[in-house]
Amino acid sequence: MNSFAIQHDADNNLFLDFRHANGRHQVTVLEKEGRIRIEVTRNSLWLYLDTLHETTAAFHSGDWRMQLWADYNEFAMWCLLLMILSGLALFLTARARSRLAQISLAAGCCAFAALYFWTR
Amino acid sequence: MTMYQKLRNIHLATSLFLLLFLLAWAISSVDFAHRKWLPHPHWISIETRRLAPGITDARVLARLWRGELADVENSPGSLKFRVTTSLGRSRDINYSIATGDTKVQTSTIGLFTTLAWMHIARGVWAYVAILFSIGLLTLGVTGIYLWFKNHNERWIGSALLLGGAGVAVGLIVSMRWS
Repeated sequence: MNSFAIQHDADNNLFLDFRHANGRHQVTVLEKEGRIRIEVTRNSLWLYLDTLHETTAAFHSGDWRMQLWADYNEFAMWCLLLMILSGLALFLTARARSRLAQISLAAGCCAFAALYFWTR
Repeated sequence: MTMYQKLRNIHLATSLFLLLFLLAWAISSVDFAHRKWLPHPHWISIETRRLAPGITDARVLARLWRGELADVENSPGSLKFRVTTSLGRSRDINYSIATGDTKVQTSTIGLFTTLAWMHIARGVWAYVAILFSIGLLTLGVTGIYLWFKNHNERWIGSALLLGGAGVAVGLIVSMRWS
């Protein structure tokens, strides 16, 4: 548990703030009453997927599923880079003389450069 | 031309058209995941200009610079606002209504921060991200078809495809509905 999740509320009750991909669990320990109060906030499916999209190996979670997801996402990210490089190598070795390939590459580079200079 | 050749050409043309976009998104993903690996320099320059005095609407002045108007502050005798481009270059403008004297502070960011701004997709880059995503899906679908037509690699490919999809979908579903 991260230390910033452990807090005290205005009445000096222990307050635990658990944030996760599904939303938030806010737990208040009401010591005098001998009870705990749990407030659950649930993220929308879109926000849940957005959080998963951002989660990579730099993130450390106590939940093994989230940790596995983070490692899987990190692996996928490096695979993407590897696929780009291997695809480029295949193009250069096997299809470099293809007119379709040359036109596509030139058009893509021009579109990227135009957008870059137009919006920077 | 056979279906295989058509899809192979689509795969080739799409991937090469998207090459720089793919690199930009992939490098910025690494940058987001490991913020300390790549340098993020930024530079500030200041210039003064004299504009026509008496303008009280920041929207009118903001048209002089390319970008989106933000953080408008009305203080007595002056207008302060920020104009930010889709790729993160920002200009903080301080305009004197009485004299028209204007101080422009421009913040310019480095390459990797610019790539990160592309990734978060503001302005026209939001539309680029949509087209890029469609292109990426096209590459995936055509790539799977081209692999499937290679009979020697069907078994190992199927195992990897089902294993990967099983892990991803299993984790997404189990974390959401547990």
